Amino acid sequence: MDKILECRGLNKAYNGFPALNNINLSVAKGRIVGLLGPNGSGKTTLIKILTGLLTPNTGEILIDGKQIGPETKSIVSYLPDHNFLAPWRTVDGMVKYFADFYTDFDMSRADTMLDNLGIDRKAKIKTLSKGTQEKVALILIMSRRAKLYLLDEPIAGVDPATRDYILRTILSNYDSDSTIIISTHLISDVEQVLSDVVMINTGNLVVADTVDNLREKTGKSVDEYFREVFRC
Amino acid sequence: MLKKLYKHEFIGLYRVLLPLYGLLFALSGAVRLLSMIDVNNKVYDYINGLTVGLTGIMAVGLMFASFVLVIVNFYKSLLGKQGYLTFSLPFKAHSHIICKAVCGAVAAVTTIIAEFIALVIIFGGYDFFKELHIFFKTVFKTANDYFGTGKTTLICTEVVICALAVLLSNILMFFAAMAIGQQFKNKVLGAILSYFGIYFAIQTVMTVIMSLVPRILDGIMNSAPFAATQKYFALIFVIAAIQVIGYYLVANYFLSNKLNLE
Repeated sequence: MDKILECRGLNKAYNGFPALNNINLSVAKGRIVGLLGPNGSGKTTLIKILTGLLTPNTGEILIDGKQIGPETKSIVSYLPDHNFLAPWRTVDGMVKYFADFYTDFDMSRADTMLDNLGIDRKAKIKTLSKGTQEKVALILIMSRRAKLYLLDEPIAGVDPATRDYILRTILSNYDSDSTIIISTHLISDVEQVLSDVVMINTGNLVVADTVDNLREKTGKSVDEYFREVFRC
Repeated sequence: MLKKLYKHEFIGLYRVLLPLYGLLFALSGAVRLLSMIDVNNKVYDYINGLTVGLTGIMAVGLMFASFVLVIVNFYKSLLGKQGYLTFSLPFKAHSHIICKAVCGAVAAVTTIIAEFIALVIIFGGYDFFKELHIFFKTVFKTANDYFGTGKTTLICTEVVICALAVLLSNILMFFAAMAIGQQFKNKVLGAILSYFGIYFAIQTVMTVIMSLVPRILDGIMNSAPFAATQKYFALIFVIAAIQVIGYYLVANYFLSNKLNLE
């Protein structure tokens, strides 16, 4: 199995409170992985560690065989769970910003998506609606020909039509040898596109398997299984 | 790739500074224009006084604004929501710190130049430049007489180097305070407390060093004028350089290992 991601013995604690507990995880290239878990389970912490925004207390992470650093950041495309764009820049300015820093940025892909949505390129980010800002962010992230996409709650807090658009955009703009990790708790919306699932709860790895295996073993859909495992 | 980091940092700073420079130049031009009109009228006097007052406030405010801008820019682009993007770029934390410190120092220097241009706009002319020439000639002659011929240029260079080192240490002190402060629940309050903490710690260390080693100051004061100046500048530079390195290491440690963007 050609791995894009490997975590060994990953631990992270905030002020002594464990957020991730001994996570061992391998993700193969070319997969769409659902990182699933209830709120506060450690999904965002794991993604932040993979992007290099957080440093684990112990453990090793390899992305495409390399330790976290500028080299891995250049192949990882990360969508945080909130707006992160500079409000004073124009849409065009943000596109140029991404094109300047990421050699894998595909300008034509960005142009197509912006045109399809009819987004005003001269508009400043701060003048756009929250929904449009989220779409611009997604377009920028998915315009990269990255090896690993880390999407943190990309469909949370948006209407069903936008949710469909986001999922369509993700699926139609990634290369088959790229890997996507989508963190979400809206499982029914993404289940049909996932090839693997990773479930975590209170910082512990609960399940890491293919969707087919999970369905076969449990006789349930991922959504049903999730509801059973994380029943309050 | 580093060039692009500097390019975007300059864009971030000068999108605010350039309009401010333009406003200062416009006000300076207005002061100059109004001073050339000889009218005995209360409204005119009021407008003239207002323009001079605004230009003065703008000139003083611009220095303050450029420093605040550098600090706010650091906070927003690294420790605010934009930090998620900045720290996802293929650079290590030290590249961001050095880039922001260098660009901040350049912004301070260009602001000083803009202030000088404003002065030239207001007072510029044959007499102004003649006076300026005489002033610098007198300063250089006095300095040459005091320190010895040909040594003034060296001293001027040392003044510039020391000023830049002190400027960088001041900027990095704010960066270090903000990098420590982001560990607190209230990041802004944390940064302010950290700044005063660092300030008092540095003052205490300096007082202790100076009281424990009076020979340093005696050695400087008892030397010949040129030698005294050299020792004095060397002391300032070493202190500033130690601070620059110390603040940089603190900021780099916290942003590399203890980043808290929540």
